[in-house]
Amino acid sequence: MAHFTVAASENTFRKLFTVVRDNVSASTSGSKSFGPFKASWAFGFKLAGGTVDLQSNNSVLISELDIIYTPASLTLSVDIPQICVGGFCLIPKPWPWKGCLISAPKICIFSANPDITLPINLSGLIQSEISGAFRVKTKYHQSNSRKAGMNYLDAEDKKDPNQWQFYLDPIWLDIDIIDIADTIGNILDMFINNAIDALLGWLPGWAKNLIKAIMGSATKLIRKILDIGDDIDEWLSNLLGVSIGLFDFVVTIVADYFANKFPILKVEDPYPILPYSGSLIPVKIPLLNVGVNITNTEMVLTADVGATL
Amino acid sequence: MSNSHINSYALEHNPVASEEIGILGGVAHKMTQTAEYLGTVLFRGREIGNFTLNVTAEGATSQVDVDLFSFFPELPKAVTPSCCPDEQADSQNRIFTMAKDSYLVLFASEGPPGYRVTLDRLDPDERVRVYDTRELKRDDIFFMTLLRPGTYTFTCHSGQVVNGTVTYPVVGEDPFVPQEPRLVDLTAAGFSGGEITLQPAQGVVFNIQADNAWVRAELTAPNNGPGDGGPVRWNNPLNQ
Repeated sequence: MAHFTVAASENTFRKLFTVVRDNVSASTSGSKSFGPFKASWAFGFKLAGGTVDLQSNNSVLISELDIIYTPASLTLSVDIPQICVGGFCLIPKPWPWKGCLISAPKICIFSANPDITLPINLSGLIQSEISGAFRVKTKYHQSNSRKAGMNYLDAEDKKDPNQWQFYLDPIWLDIDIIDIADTIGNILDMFINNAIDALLGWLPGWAKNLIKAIMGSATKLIRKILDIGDDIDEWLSNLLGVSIGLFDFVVTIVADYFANKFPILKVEDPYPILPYSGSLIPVKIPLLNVGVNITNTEMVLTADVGATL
Repeated sequence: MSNSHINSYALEHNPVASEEIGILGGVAHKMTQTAEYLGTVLFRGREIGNFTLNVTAEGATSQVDVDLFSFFPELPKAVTPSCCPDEQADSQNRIFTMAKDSYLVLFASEGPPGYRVTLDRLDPDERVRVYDTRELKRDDIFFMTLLRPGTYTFTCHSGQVVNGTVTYPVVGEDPFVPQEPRLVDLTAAGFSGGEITLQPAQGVVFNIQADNAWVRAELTAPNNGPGDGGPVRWNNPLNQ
């Protein structure tokens, strides 16, 4: 039987978790080519909300943590096909053959490189959540500043004692986009039209209309190049999640933060019982065999008293 | 940041004339005699380059495209055969080979109009001028692509004048594809058919059926589209 047993209620656990949650933040940027278009991005995120439930199977269930993306900028650079005229048939092949014997050359009247750029600010337009189940794992943290010959009192004086630390080690994590603003399609179309107008803006109206007529609907053309299809939500989710790997990035960061970077609880070792008092040194007891168990109502810590400080 | 390229001469090319080949108007000449020829390219009266053309009795080549813009000295010496470049042309020395009854297609991909091409047959003892694009021959083709909406006049060697129209482009959901080219026979008497009405970027193919022919299309009244009715006047109601 352990020498010490301490329990923290589910409510207390939630408060402890809030501190960890609020410390999670990271950012990433990069670019990738997808053939006819290229994507560049700069994303940062932090966490908010979420519910914490202690489970009777010695795990913690954290649900629906909001992922707040800030910044959330995505830039798409799109290659537009050249606009060419001509190429028509001058002399058809004689019967019984079909097709053209002699053709007029094609003349290209408009081209652009690297074509149009669509900067899209996704802040506030995409919402995603992360949920997961965790075990609480124990680690012993050796003070970084503790040198050979230093004792526990020296460490206390330097305010850098050894610690027993308790981390949330993920069993599984799920991340999902739960909402993309309905306006994102309109925003994308607006950017496309603005980009095309900027590209052609200095041309006389008839020439602009001729190029636009040959191009067809710019939004339709660009959406086709981007391979958006009927469901822009699905496209964006796939682009962010699979192609860019944003969700993998978030999950990896969250898992690492919870499992290795921010302990949910830290206990000093040796554990202080009484502080300095006059000429008396502080009273501390060393802890051994520290363990943790989760029930559906509380987190229970157990420990034994060690023999030496 | 975008780096767009507009072929501005294509938007400004007016008039379009067979005597001055340019972006919107080119010539296809049928080579009916086997021989070696020297082609001379002139731009606004100044010689800018040469090419050699071997017309052989056998072979399947149907056309050779020569981009006259490429003859300017500061440009790479590349030509644009329509097919089989390794068989047809030595791009460094501008030597083309084609079968008898194939077509030499002369055009310009860039720049202002003003090109003229002459062909001299290289006989053993002399050079014989056999062709000049300023005087189209029977079985030649002059082709043009008019872009600017508006009203045009078409004139030719016979003095005949035919009116024409290029309609204003309509921007729709689907890409606009112009109709098949309008075919016009050009005889000693002039144009076949009446007024020439075209969609923008629709081709016109003039089948030359007389010697010493020429064709010219000139924009007489541009159509700048809806809303181009001049300034909007406000009348002071207090003065009414």
